[in-house]
Amino acid sequence: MKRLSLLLGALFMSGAAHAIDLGGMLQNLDVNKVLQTGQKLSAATQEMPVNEEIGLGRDLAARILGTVPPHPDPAVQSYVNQVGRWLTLHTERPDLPWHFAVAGTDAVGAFATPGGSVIITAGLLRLMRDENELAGVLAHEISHVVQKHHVVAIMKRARAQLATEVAAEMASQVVAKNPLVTQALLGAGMNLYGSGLDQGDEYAADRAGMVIAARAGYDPLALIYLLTTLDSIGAGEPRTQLMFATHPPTRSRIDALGAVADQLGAYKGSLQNPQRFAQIQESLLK
Amino acid sequence: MKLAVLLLGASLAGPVVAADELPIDRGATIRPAQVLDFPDRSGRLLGTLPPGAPVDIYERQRLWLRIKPPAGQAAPAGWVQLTDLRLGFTAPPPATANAPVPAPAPAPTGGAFSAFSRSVSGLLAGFQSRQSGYASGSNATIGIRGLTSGELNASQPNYQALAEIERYAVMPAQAQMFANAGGLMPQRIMYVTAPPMAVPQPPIGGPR
Repeated sequence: MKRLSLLLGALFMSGAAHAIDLGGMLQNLDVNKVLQTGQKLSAATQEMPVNEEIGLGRDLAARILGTVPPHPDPAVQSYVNQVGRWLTLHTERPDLPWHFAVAGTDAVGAFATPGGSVIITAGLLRLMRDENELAGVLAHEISHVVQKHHVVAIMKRARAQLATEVAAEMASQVVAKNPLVTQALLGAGMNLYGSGLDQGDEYAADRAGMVIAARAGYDPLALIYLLTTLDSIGAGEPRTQLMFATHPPTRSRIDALGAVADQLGAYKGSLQNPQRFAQIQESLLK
Repeated sequence: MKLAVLLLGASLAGPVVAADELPIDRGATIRPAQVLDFPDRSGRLLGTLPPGAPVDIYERQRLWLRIKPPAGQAAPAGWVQLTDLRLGFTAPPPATANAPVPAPAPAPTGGAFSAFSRSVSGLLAGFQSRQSGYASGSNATIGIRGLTSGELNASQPNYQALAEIERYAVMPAQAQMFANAGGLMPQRIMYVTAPPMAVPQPPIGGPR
């Protein structure tokens, strides 16, 4: 069985670029080559290499943008990229190909995909008071990427989804080159955006996001203020349903962050230029 | 006794809200909220607002807000904790509260309100429709489209949109200039650990 799993695992690796046709591939099998490859695979790291993390994240971001297309205003997109990129320079992963997008939808939400894609909705941007609150949300999403919350959750789900020893092994191996595993990862990924990360990951991103925002010179308490606004809207509206369904109860997040705020002392941030956020928001309201 | 506390608060200490001062925000209490004369737990108690009480907000200090109940409400002005409030507009109290639903206050006019306030009380949420929504049910929000897990699962990739978005990515040097223009000063701050009580357990039967 172990041998078979290695064999099939290697098969997936060297499989055709698109359709998976196990029967056809088995006919042309070079058993020795497959066994060698399987041994290499077993020795490979359990972690997803960063280039594959980036590739998976791009595929997922393309799917999210396939659902909620980008807002058409270049000034809005540029502005959010400036805020977001500045924040990333205060993390442990400043060298990822970070990019940020505003999706043109009234729905309220934000998404991070592995490798450094962050998407927030215009509906959420409109609810913010200032650049500090934008930084709070972006830093929360950035924290998910830095701590690889989605990568870990997706690998776990993909293993469960494939549900065979072969596939389980594959999902933990060099994944991007294998169409079947790639499909499983993408499916698990999109499923994850609809159902949400573990609540512990969300609280962790709240805490780390506050610190990253403060490191970048923003008011770390701004995220708490934004959460009180979201709490005012509540989960009864279509635009907030997905966000509330995929996150811990807003009041619990507010109370948890209130306790964390004490650890951050009296730092209030140093933002001097409120006009630039107001201008962006005005252009969203047009 | 209550009256005495109120009178004491009004006559002696306590933050003064000038008659012509414009609010920067508004909100409503979500639970009984103590009103203090100073933005700290050591402040003197001026009174307590019931759940669902609408308040106008004039100043922020960390997680404390200087508030005044709208005209005609016999309650003290002073400082309340952010965690006792919902912000953005006057919202109904939580379903667990037995207090009557307050009517939403009219949107204020005047320059003190930001685009945020206008967006919340006006353009985005549609303050008028929100008012009628609270009165007549959820029909008022039908026009506002949401996003569903089903849509995400069924989505087709849009690599053209992704490429378009990736063009806006900025280099670290540009981000540094942006930060300088905003007066943003980097700080050295360690990550914080979760306080023991900071991660509450999800409610039984709640989502996930």
